[in-house]
Amino acid sequence: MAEIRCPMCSAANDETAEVCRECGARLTPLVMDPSGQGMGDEETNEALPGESSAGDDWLERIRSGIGGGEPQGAPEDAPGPPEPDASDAPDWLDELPEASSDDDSGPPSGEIPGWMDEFIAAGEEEAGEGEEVPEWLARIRARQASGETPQEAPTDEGWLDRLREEEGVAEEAEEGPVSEGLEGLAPSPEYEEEPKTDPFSTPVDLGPLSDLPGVPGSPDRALRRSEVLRAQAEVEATDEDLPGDAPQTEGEMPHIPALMERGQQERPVVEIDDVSLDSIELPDWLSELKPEMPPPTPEEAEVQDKGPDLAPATLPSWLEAMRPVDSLRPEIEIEPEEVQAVESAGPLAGLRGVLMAEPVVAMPRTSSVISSQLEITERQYAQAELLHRLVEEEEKDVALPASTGRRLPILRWGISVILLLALFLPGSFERLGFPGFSIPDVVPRETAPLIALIEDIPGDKPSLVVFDFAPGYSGELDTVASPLLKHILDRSVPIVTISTHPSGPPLAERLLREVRPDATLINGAQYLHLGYLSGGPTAVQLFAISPRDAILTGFKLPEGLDRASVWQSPLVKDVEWLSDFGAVIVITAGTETARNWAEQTHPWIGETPLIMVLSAGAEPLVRPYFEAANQQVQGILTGLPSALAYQQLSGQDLTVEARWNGFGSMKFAVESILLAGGIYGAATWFLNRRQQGRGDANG
Amino acid sequence: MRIGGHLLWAATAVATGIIVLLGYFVRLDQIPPGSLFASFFTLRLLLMRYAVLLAAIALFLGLINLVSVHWNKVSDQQAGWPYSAILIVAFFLTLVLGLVFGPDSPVVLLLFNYVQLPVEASLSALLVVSLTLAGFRLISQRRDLISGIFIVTALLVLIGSGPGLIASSGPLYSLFGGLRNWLAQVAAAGGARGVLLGVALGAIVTGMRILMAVDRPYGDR
Repeated sequence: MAEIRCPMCSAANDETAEVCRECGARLTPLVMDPSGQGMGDEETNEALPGESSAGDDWLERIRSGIGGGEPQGAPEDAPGPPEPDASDAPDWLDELPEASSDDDSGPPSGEIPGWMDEFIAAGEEEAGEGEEVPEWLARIRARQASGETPQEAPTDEGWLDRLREEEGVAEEAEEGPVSEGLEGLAPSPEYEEEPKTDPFSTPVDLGPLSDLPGVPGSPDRALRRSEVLRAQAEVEATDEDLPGDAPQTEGEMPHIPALMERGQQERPVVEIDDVSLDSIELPDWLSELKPEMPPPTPEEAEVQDKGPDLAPATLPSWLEAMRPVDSLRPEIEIEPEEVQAVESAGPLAGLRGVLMAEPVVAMPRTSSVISSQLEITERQYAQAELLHRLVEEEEKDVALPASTGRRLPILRWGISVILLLALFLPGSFERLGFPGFSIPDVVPRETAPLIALIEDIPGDKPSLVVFDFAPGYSGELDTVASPLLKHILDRSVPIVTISTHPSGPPLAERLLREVRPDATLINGAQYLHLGYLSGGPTAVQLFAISPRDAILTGFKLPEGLDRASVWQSPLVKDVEWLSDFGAVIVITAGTETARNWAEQTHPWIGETPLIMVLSAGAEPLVRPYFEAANQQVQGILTGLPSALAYQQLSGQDLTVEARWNGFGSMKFAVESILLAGGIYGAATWFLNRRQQGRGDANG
Repeated sequence: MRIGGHLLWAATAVATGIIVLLGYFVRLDQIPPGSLFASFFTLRLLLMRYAVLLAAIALFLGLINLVSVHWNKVSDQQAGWPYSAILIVAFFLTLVLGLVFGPDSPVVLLLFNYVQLPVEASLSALLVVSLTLAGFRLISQRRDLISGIFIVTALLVLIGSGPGLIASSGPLYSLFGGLRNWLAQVAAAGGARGVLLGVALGAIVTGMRILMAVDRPYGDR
C-alpha cells in the first residue's frame, strides 16, 4: 500500500488517510466541496450527536485510537465521510466548477496552491531519496521495518502513546464510582445534555500565554498543551476517586477538593508545601512561567484578605466623657515633609516635621461634629422666643404717627424767658425799690491767708501770672481774678504773663487794662507778656526748669524787645529759674491745666508760692493740692463770693458788687426752676401712686 | 535686624525717660557749672526742647487735618458744608492777618475782642440755659433716687454759693454756706483726691513699664 508521510511529523500514513495518525495533522488539503460541507462547516458548526462529519471522523479515530491504546492503523475501518448531497448545496456553489469526487487521489492538481505543490514535491523527493533522510526518521523507518509498534518503543518518540495510555486511565477514572462525599452532587440535567467536547481537540484559550513566541500553531505546542490539560484532568480524576476523608498517602500530591459540602466547610485546609508543589512535573515552557515568588501560605492569604487583626482601642468612660469632641478637629492635616516648617527655637531647633503646638491647639477650628438636636431648657427656649419676637418687631414697619402740627417747646421757651427776665431785672431794682442782694457776711477761710500771701510777695521780684483759660470763661474768671491782680498792681509788683492757651495773651492784656485802665500801667515797666507757651505739660516743665530755655513767642512786647531779647527786659533780667519769681499765679478754668502747673512746677518752684484762681467748677479737683499737708498750692481763690470777700478784706472798692445783683438774680431763677421741677415731679409721682392705688382697690 | 532695631528704639526711649526722670530728684541750682552733671542736664533740656518742637509740629498737623476735613465737606457738598466754608474762610483770614500783621497787631486783637471773645462767652452763657432745662426735665420726669440726689445737691450748692432763694447773710445762709463748703471741699474734694490718686498710680505704672521697655508704644507693642 502506498504511504503518505505527514508533512508535520513525517509519520507514514495510508495514502487514503486525510489526517496523520500520529499527530492528527491534515494530510490532504481542504478543497471547496460542491456539496456544501466544506472546511468552514467543519470548524464552525458543532456536530450534533448522532451526526457524522468529516471533522468528527478524524477526531473519533483519534479518540478511538487513544481509548484503545492502539494506533489507528486501518483508515478503511473508519466510516467514510458522507456523500455530499448536491441538493443541499446553495445555488452559488453550483456555479463553481465541479471537482473530482475521488478524494483519495487528493485534490485536483489545479486547485492545490502553489506553495503546497512545493511541499508535495519535496515529500516525494524525500520519499524517493533515502540518502538525505534524517536520523530520527531513519530510526522510525527501521522500527517500522522491524515490525515494532510506535507505542512499544522505549524511545522518546512514544510520548504520544504514553499520553494515550494516560488518557485511557483518565477516562476510566471519569467513569468510575462517585466518591461518598460527592454523591449528593449529581450533575444537573442541563449538564448532562450538554454535549461533551474533547478538551484536547478544542482550542484552548491561553490568554496571555498565546502571545509567547511559538506557543500556538505548532503540533508540538499543541501536544504539550494537551499534555498539561491531561495532567490536570488526571489530578482531578484522582481526587474524585479518593474518598472524602481518606488519609493522604505519602508522596501523593496534596489534594484540595474543588467542591465541598456545606458541612465540610470547616474542613481543615491542607497545607501545600513547596516541596510537594515542586514535585509536579510540568512542561518546560510552563515551568518557565512559574512565578518567581512562592505563593502565599493559606494563613498569609487569610491575613491579607482580612487585614491586620487589631482590636479596636477603647477609652474609659470617664475619659470618653472628657473628650472634647466639639472643640477639636477630628482630622489634623499633616503636610508633607517638604512643606513642613523647620523648628526655629527650643531643643528641637533645626528639625523638620516637629509637631507644632500652635496649629493643633491654639488655632481656631470649626467643629465637624454637628449636633442634630440642640438641647435647651424651657427657660432658654422662652428667652429665645422673646428675642425672636423682639427682632420681628424691629423688622416691622411702624406707621408714622399722625401729624398733629408742630408743637412749641413751651418748656424751653418758658425757661429761656425766665432767665432773660432774671438777667435784665437787676437793672430795674432801683426803680422797683428793691435794695438788691446783700453782701455775704461769711468770708471763706482761705481768703485771708491768700491776702497775706499777696502781701508777702517781694516787690523786687516779678509775679508770674498764667492766663490759661478760654475766652468763654472770661466772664467769671475776669471777675474773680481782678481783685487779686489789682492787689498785686497796687503793691507795685511787676507782672509777667504767660499762657499755654493761644488766646491767653490777649485775655491777659485785656484784663490788665480793665484792672488798671489808667495810663499808669506801662508795658515793659509794670507788666510784660511773654506770650504763648506751646507744648503742653512738657513745655510747662521746661519753663519750670529753665524759663530762658522755653520757646516763647512774646506778645505786645515793648519797644526795643523781640522774642529773642525778651529776657533782656528789666522786669525779667534777673530771672533764671522759676523760683526767681515772687509768685506764680495760675488763672484757669480747667482742672487739667491746674494739675499740670501744680505737678510740673513743684520740684523747681522752691519757696515761691503757687496761687490758683479758679472757676467754681475746677475748685474740687484743685483743692486737694491746697489742703494737703505738704501744700503744692499755697493759695486758692474761686468763685464770685470769694472775690467779693477778697475785695472786702483787702480794702478794695467793691467793683464786684456790680455783678452781684445779676449773679443773685440768675441764681434765684435757676434755683426756682429746679425747685419747681422737683415739686412737679413729686406731685406727678404722688398722683400716679394715688391713681394706681385706686385702680388696685377697684380691682 | 528687626530685633536690633527694636532694641535700639527701646534703649533710646528708656534712656530718654531715665534722663528726664532723674531731673526731678536733683536741684539744678546746686549743680556746679561745667561738671558732668551740668552736661547731663543740658542734654535733658535739649531732649525736652525736642519734645516741645514735636508738640508744635503736631499742632500744625492738626490744623492741616482740620482744614482738609472741612475742605472735603465743602467739596462733597455734605450736610452743613456752609459752616465748613465759613470755618475755612475764617481760618485763612486769621492766618493771613496774623502772618502779615502779627498776632498782637490791633487788627488781630480787634477780631479777637469783638468776634472770638463774645462768641465764646455767649456759648458759655448758653450752658446756663441748657443745664437748667436738663435739670428741670430730670427732676420732673425721671423720678428716681439718683436724680433726686443730683438735684438736691445742685440746689444746696447753688443756695450756699450766693444770694438767691435765701439772702446771702444771716444764719440760714451760714447753714447753707456750710453745707455748700462741706459738699465742695469734703465730699467733692474727697472724690477728686481719689481720682488724682488713681491718675498718679496709673501714671507711675505706665511710666515704669515704659522705662523697663515692657510697653513700647513706639514699636511693635
